Amino acid sequence: MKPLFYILRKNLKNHIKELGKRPVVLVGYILVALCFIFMIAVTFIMPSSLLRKGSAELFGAIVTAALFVFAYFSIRQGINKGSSFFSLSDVNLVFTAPISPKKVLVYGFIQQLMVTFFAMLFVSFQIPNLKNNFPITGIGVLVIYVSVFFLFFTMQLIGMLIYSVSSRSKKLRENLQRGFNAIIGLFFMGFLMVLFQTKDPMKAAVIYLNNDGIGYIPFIGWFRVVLLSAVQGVGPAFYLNMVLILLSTALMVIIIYKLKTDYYEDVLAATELNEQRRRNKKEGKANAVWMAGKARKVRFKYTGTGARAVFQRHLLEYKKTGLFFINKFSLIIIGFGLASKFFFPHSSIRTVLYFTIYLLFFFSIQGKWAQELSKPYIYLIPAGSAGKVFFATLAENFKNGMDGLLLFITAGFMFRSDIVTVILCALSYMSFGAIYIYGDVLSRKLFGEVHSKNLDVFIKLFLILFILAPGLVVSIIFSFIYAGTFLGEYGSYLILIGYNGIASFFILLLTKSIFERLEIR
Amino acid sequence: MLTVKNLYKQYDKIIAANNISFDVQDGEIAVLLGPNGAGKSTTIKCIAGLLRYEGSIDICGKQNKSIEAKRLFGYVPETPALYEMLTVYEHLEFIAQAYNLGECRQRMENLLERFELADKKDKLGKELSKGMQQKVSICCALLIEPKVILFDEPMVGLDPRAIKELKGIFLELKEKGCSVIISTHIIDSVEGIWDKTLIMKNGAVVMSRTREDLEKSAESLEQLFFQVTEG
Repeated sequence: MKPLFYILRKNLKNHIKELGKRPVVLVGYILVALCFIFMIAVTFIMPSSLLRKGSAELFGAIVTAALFVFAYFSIRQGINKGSSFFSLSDVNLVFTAPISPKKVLVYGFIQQLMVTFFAMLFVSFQIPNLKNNFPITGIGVLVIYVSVFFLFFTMQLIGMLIYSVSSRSKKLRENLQRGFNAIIGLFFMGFLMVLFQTKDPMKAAVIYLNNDGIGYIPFIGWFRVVLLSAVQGVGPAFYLNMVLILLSTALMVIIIYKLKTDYYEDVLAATELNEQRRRNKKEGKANAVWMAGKARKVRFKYTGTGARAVFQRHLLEYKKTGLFFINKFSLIIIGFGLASKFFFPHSSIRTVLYFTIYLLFFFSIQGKWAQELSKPYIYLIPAGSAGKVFFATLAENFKNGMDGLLLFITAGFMFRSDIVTVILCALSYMSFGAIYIYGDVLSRKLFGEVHSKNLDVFIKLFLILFILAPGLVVSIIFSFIYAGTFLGEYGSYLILIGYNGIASFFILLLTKSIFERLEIR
Repeated sequence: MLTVKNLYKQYDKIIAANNISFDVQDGEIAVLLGPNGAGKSTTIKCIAGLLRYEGSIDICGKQNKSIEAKRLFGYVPETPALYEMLTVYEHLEFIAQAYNLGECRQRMENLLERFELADKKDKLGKELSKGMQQKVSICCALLIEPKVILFDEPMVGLDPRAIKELKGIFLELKEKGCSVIISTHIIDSVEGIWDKTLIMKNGAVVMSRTREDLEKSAESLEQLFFQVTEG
């Protein structure tokens, strides 16, 4: 184990040394650490159900839905690619070294534990939100931490074991995939039956996801009972299900450790996939790659030349991965629109708008414009800088408009909003998208390419907040002054749309010569 | 023709190109040689207009970042960067449109045939191996029929047949009067085709020789390289 501990130790040490060399990144990490400590303190100190007292049934439905989603992705990846605790450098240097595979596996477990620990940081940021809405006690917070920790670890093990079975033959993998799809189909059919009876999607979801039968599904049922203890209190059911989780996790570890000594091949595909994801994340195109999915064969004829060809190429890419601008992301957006009433039961369509524009920021920074700049072609083609900026960002604006329309038509249906509000919300969504796109252009013009991805996101976030602030403030003041009137209802949207549109246009003018200064990363 | 005068490029505290000056005449093949980190790729990227720099770079008498200059040069990057969702053929179609090349279908077919990509023209960029991606990158650069062409480590990842084909293309470009700049650290790969060599070290051109100079001194390119970089 000595050389393996050496890698772990040196990795950690060099990370810390590296931070010493990059004080800005160090400050960023300190801020994140302080936020984390603050969140933990707040989590335990703050009283629960500050905003509203959500029912245990609603909490149960949310928890069960999250568990199903998590299990779905773990099993799907398990069938196709497996799961891995290792990096490609481990494959090249550790797997080929004269070290027992069992020791290498222990090393993998330790690495996974470290990754899981970091994943817990993100959970910390969600707990205050849960506590605001549900009666979660101090011990309940601990329950969430412990169960999420085990959930991450267990799902990796399940993925690894499923792959060791599915990788035996292509036919077996296909059959497993079919069986899995059939189970998913049955699951949704069950939901549709309940929906048919209740005629209310939210009510149907709560009833269906609190079905007692779920308790008998291994892992999902056990984790559900454990997580429900966060609101219902810790009792014998918690201990019994926790013991089941621990025993089955230990059993899986023993199976892999004792029986599967030749597991190197089983983790290879997943390791390469992880490496690709890491690379995509580093290059800022993780979302884009995930959203792209499979490409269809389409017929397309270019009609424009120069920078216009870039816009048409974007259209071609959208056409291949969806129906014009409607793609995988649009479907998620529609799903979110449908589920919005479930997520924000006591709010309005305006809450959906604010929440989705927050999410849109993170998708925009990995959008077509950012992807375009990572390849040399846009710099090389013989066209003016202004045309390049305009045409390289145009398709994404259309896409945001289409997504906004789809989102707010569905959300409007759920919240019973009028058509004018739906259109105004969609236009507001598009206008925020434009601010994000041109805010990114402005950030690159002012600060160039920032080498640290996280710092880059921080800078863009603050710059965009700075740009957005006047419009938001005026819009909020306006809606307070004219509250309850026709003007107050629609005027605040119009202010946002107008301000964002004008600001985007001015940024576009300000940054039109960016390609004269911009450098490829 | 390519003219580089007093090119200077600094990354943070590192000077990657330090007052570099050289030119490559029409129909001349120049090789940029140097150990890893010598500044070859930075120099090529500055010429391609991908980086900011101090000094002047002219392509056929036009400033390299001007639209007129961009029409005249091709660039093959060190790491091929293709669009994941575009097929091989669609990459060429895109270049044809972006450069406003007009009718060039036959030229596309010929290039695909030459680099054994014809049967893969419907494959997506993301489905290609690194070598295949490199071939597509080369085809894109050649499609525009450049007056100046920049190759950054073009042989990496190519199979022996593609390397042979590419060497033939270097000579064809030379015959057509194109200025060819090849950055490499694999000296053998350019043996027999080069006209001028620029040896770089620590961001500077430390030696410039023509083939005639070297033949007179009865030295090999490899000997000269080690003498300069390790001497």
